[in-house]
Amino acid sequence: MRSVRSRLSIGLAVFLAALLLGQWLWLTFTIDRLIEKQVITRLQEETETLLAHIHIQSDGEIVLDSRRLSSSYQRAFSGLYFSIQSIDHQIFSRSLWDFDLTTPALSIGSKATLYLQGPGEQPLMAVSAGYLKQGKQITITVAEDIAWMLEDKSHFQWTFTVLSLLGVLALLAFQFWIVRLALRPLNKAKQELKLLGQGEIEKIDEHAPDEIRPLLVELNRLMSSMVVKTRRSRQSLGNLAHRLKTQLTLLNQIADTEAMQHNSEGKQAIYSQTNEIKQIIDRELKRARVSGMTLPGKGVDINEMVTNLVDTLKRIYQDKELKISWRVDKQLRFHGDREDLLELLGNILDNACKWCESRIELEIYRDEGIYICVKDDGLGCHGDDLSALTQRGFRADEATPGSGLGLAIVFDIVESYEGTMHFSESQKWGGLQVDIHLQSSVSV
Amino acid sequence: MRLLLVEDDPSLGPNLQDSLNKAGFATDLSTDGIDGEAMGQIEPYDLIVLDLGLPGKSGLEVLENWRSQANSVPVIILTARDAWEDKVLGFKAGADDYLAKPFQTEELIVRINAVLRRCTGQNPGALSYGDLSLDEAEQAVIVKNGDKHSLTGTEFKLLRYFMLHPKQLLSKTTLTEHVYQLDSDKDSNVMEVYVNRLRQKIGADWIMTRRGQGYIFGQQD
Repeated sequence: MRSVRSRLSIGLAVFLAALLLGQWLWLTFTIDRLIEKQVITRLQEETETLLAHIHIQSDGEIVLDSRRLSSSYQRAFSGLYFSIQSIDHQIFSRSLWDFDLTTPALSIGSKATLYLQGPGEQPLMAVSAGYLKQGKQITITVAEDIAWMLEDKSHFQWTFTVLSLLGVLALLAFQFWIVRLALRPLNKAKQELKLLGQGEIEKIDEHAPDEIRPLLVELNRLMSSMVVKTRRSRQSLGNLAHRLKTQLTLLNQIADTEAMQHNSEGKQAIYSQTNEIKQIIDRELKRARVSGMTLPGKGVDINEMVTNLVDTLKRIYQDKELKISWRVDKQLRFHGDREDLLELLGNILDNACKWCESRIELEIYRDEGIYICVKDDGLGCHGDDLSALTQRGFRADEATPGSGLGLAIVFDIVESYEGTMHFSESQKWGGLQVDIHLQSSVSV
Repeated sequence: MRLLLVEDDPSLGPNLQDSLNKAGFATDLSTDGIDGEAMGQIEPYDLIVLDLGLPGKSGLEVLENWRSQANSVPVIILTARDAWEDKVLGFKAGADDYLAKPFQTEELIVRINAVLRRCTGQNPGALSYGDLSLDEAEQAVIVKNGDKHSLTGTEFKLLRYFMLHPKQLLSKTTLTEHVYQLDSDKDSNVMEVYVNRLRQKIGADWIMTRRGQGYIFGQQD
């Protein structure tokens, strides 16, 4: 039960069902009681009427003046019966025919309500009362066939049950709908978060109910502060590099001064040290600024980036007359960091430019992420060197900064995008082939 | 060769200017983006060395402004951040070459020479024309019979400018502009003296005088 919706739905459903069941029980019980009470009152009045119409003779016989009584007492099995009992005598209504309606004798002033089985299996409700008439204790019982009442009752119960069930269903449907409606902003936020993750939108729409809005506002704030922080830290890294490298250039110039001209060993030592420091700065700064994260925005236009990069490479290596052929899907967008991808492509292609004869081939396409393949027609690498190449980025390079710095950066970037990199001998030209697969969100 | 160096570091700038002057480039120094942009636009420089991290205006912005105003002077950018982003942006803005800091002064001079050759349509490598070839490291000229004549600073600058612009009519004013720095004492009449000295070293028929117009360097047909 992790979902808020199911928790709300089930809670509300249980509560509603309990409420309606309680109502059903209470209502049926109350109506039963009301009808019964009415019947009992009537029957009791009837016992009093009978009491007024009897006379006890001196021998103890009970005589009833039946002229002014209901005719139902005369008609056989009419559904209305009485019995009047004293200690030694008793009379029954004619309607009882030969059915024995003997009830337990009651003390004077006490009453009892009885449910009996009457003639012809009639369900009877009887009220007995004990009276004192002419010094004699008598018990008068009036019984009525309550089949009509039972039938009414069951009819009412059935109708009420059906109506209640329909009510429960309607209410359940209604509450389900309300819960859905109330949680719709959550679904919208979920959808927007997904889009944000893919980098298709830059911020989440903050129009939401009060319960969620603070969350969304906070998310947006975090997002923008993350972007600002990334930008700021990159800027300060850039400034640091600028300052340090300018100072290193000055150090180089000290080596160039007249005083150092006669000390070529010292001069070379300074050069190699400044170069080494430069390599360390580059390596660590580049490693620190690899972000590997998906940033909000429209995504990087890979085609445009490659166009510019190839242009740059041709200018850098303009003495070499490079033939760089490349195939990139024009619609392909990279939803990672722009500089990461540029640094990766730049280093890989620069490596190819350095070692190739004249031809380089680049392919970028979509394949559960992004797939990059670079081939050149240089001498390539063979056997052990190929596997050493894969090792170097992680190990050998840290011991000897300077060799394969570019590839080491490429390794860092590939790693941060949970990608893989593979070196092999190009089947086409026999040069080096680099295959890179990045697990980044790519859209077409 | 007139050069503009735009570099804001208070020690690196003057040091570099000094080294470049010694290497035979009449170098002016500007220490911020706004000044640098104006100087690059007004003065007829042969090449500009532009640092990207400048106060006032970033180097990239300065370069873009020059290019948008049809100023096609060759530019070498100096960048401290050796990221591809900067290289791509630099070349896209119209740079001709880039050099990452820290660099050695010799490396910068090699790059400057290479860009100058490329922009004047010459082959890379030692500068030569006909039987003449210029030794830029020693600031000397090697003539037909293999003799090497060392040149003074101004002679060297003048001959290099001639050799980079052969068979073109060059006025005394043009030559003065490209041989002397901004703040030096300019007298175009001195140019005649230097041309005569050059003629003595490389042979009289290399430089023709067009009266009232200027000089043409090149072999007679």
